[in-house]
Amino acid sequence: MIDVMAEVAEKIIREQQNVIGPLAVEQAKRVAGLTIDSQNHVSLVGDKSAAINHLVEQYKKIFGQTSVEVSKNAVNNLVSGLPPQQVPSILK
Amino acid sequence: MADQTTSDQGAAGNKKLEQDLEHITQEMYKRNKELADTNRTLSLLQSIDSLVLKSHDDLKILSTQISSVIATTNEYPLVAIVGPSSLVANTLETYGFSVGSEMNIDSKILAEIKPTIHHPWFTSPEQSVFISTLSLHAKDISLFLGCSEEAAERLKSTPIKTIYIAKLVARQQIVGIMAIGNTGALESFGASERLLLERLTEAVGIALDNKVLFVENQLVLQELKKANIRLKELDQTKDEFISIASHQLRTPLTTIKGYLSMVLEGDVGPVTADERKMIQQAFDGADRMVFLIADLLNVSRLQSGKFVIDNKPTDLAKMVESEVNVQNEVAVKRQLKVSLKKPDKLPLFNLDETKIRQVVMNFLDNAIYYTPAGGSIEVELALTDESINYTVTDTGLGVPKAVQSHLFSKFYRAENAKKMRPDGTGIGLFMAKKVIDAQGGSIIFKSEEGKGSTFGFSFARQKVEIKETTPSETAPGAVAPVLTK
Repeated sequence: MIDVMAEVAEKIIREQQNVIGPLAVEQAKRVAGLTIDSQNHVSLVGDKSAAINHLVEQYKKIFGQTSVEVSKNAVNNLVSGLPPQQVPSILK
Repeated sequence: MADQTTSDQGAAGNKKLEQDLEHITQEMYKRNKELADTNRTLSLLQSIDSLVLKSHDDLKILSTQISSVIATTNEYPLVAIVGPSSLVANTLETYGFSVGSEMNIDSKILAEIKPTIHHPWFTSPEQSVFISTLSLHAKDISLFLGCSEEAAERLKSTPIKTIYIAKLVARQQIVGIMAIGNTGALESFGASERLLLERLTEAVGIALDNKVLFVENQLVLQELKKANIRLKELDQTKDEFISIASHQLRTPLTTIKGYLSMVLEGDVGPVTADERKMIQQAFDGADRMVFLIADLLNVSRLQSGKFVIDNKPTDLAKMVESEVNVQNEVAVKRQLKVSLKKPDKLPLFNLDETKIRQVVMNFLDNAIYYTPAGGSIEVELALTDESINYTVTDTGLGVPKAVQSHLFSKFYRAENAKKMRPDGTGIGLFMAKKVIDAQGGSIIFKSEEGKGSTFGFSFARQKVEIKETTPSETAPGAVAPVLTK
């Protein structure tokens, strides 16, 4: 079964990679509850929504609000199908 | 105290440095994002160009391919391209679309979208418009998209929140409409995304127009091919007719010539001077017709592949001399001076004697007919180290430069030549070139309107000269006797 939240995280990281390159993966590896394998596949453990919030916060901390907008745009289509309560707060 | 102040200043400086660094990092991120967007746009435009160049499919398949590329690259859940319907006037129909599977959009909704050009937006100067499915009523959406209210209602229930609709313009004409649906609200379309959409709209418009032009060109090409086939069939029918007619004409002409000849020779009794003059003219006319028919038959043989070169040792000097002698009589009547220049000795050449004789005669005959009275014609056979050349140079009307390239085409006749000799067929030079080319020779031709022309041919000695046979002995002297009377 597809883990939509893992898909959301993966897409955010991929979009950030388009902008800042491999640094995006390095920053994502610092987020608790998020692991990335050698093929850049993402898996989430624990509170998945919180992990995504931390991921976007991690980018925001270094690159500012623009990186949040980039993340939101990247997953617009994915989160539009989720119930509002499941959508990570930073992406709303 | 001083140490404390220095430390405070140092901490403030560090903080400032950190803030600057943060600011620079964020600015660099923004620039990088712009570059990434530009890169994506360029890559997308390149993909569309590449699709148009490579695609041999029809407009609708290409539109689907373009929609799919746009949807995949930019992750738009809905992309549709509509264009003028070929069936219903003033109506647009869906050319191609791409819908994201996760969108769960019934393709029937898209099939229903048929905007009409009567909607005020089509005639407005506005190139594009954003429709918010959140704020607009189903009725308004249905009016815009030309679909039923029910279909608009179903569209509103999908995750698509905004639809970008743009006129596809090429060569100042609307060639179609592109609709892009997105799950983001209207505000989510930032400046860079709007710019990308503008670029996309331009590119797709041009792509669509190019495809339409390509298809139109293909249709014209097909029509031309069909017309060409019809013309070839007609040409074949004409050649068959010429072949049959020529054969049929030759037999009665032989009879006419035979009986006229008998009358002239007095076989049926004495002939008065007036009668002789008239019968002789009739005989000359019949004789000329025999040559015309021979020309027509040669063309016919050429078309049917029965044109065969039959090479044998040929005494070119003797042949040219005999033709000059025969034609000289006509030249004298037309008050022309003919001279022949040839080498003392000339070897035999391996050529098709009958066909070469026809060419020799044709060039001389043309010179006589197209040179006004008082002019001169110089016939020359010249043997160089490499080639044997035959030329006929006249002081005739010449060939206008503009038509010189057509001169050796079948049935072509220059306007000034038509005026001077209305009964020509336009076959002689065509056949001459065929005969010379077929034997590996080349045509010599130069002309200046109003001053005269040189027609002739040239063969490489290496190709045609027969070295072992005894050369033809001709009268001594570099220049042959002038044959004019």
